[in-house]
Amino acid sequence: VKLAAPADAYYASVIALTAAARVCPSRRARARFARLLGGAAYRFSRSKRRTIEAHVDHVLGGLDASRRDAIVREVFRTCWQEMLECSAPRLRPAELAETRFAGREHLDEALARGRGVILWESRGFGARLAAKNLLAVHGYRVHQVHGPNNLGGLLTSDASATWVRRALVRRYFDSLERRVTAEVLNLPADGTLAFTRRLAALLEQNAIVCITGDGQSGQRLQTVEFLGEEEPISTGMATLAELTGATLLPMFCSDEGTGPELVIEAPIEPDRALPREARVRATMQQFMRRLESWVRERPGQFRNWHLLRLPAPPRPASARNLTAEAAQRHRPNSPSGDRMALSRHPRGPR
Amino acid sequence: VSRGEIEHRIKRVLRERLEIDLDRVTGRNGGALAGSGLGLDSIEALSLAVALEEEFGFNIDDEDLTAELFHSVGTIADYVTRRSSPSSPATRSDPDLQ
Repeated sequence: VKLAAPADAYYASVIALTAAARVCPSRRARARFARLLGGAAYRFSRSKRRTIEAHVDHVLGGLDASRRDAIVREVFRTCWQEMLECSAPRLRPAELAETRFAGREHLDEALARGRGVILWESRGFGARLAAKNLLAVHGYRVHQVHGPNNLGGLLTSDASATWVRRALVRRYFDSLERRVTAEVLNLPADGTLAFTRRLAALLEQNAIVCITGDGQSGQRLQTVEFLGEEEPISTGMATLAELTGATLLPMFCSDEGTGPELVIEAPIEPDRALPREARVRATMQQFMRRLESWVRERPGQFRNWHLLRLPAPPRPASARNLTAEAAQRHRPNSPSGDRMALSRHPRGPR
Repeated sequence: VSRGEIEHRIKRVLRERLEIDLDRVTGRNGGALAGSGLGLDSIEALSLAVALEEEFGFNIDDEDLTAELFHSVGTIADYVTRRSSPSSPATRSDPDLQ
């Protein structure tokens, strides 16, 4: 394993900023800091900004420039709000007044059934860490499950590629998240499956397991519709609910700078009339439909606009002129290749 | 127990516990359950492991619970054969035996 890679300098700078946010005396001060950082990211991350603008236009359509700009700025602010949240202390009583927690009865009813609860959250929507903070304050300690490439909310294609990432960056973010959860479980990347027994055992003990419903790492992916496109999503948690009888509860938490609003929705019920594969897909589709309604209602809370499998944005005219000849050399039979390429960004806050 | 009977019982478990379409198991990718075959996910693999433990009367150790074990009906049959043989210690399924 390499000691470090150039991208690790970026991760280190994010850690430094989250550490700096600890001096913020209140959530409001931290929210202002996030707005400042989000504004800087909006200004300097031009490529990401253009992709978000194009995807917001493509999905929502008919927006005037100022509305679209406000959404894109909010996306950058939300990214930094989520990053800084990891250094936030437990919510204080005075701050609880600025929070909202709806759907608690769904969680209590599911726990009363005694077969475990799977809180299904989105990897890219809203305030995930604030949700755990709020749950902890209300007495619910969740077992947080992360994919093998989780790096505390930072996007990476390989969280174990360097010693710095594995031993420092991940450990740093995990330790902060453990303050508001029962434990943090990182799924292995080596093909071992023993962790599945641990998850099943937790649910058998009526624990609350929290995992993303739109994750894209796993042994099997199924495509489901999301924002008008097909997205490949991991099937693992839908089948875990099938195996254990645990209740699947979609959970969404947004924070528009005024305090976290946590909503636990009514359970997703598998359609027992369908055969196995269709049933699993339908369960996943139900979650994605609910996520989509949140994204359409609060588009600035969705941090992953730039990761959608949508056509890449057109480049500015100057950049097109400079690179047109080179692009043609590489893709002589694909004149529209740039516009149709899937847009994926190697790193940056999710 | 013959190899053929072990494979028959594995396929029955797949059909009854996981509702897996056996035509797809045998018709695609040399009977692969993982990868470009049926693509069992990790939880389905666990479900299959539990069912196999009940069917064949042994426990699958954590270190043996890997994606490679569930690659195909053949790799599972190799593992069951080894575990069922009193003279052979349990080891990981060896792809060379397929």
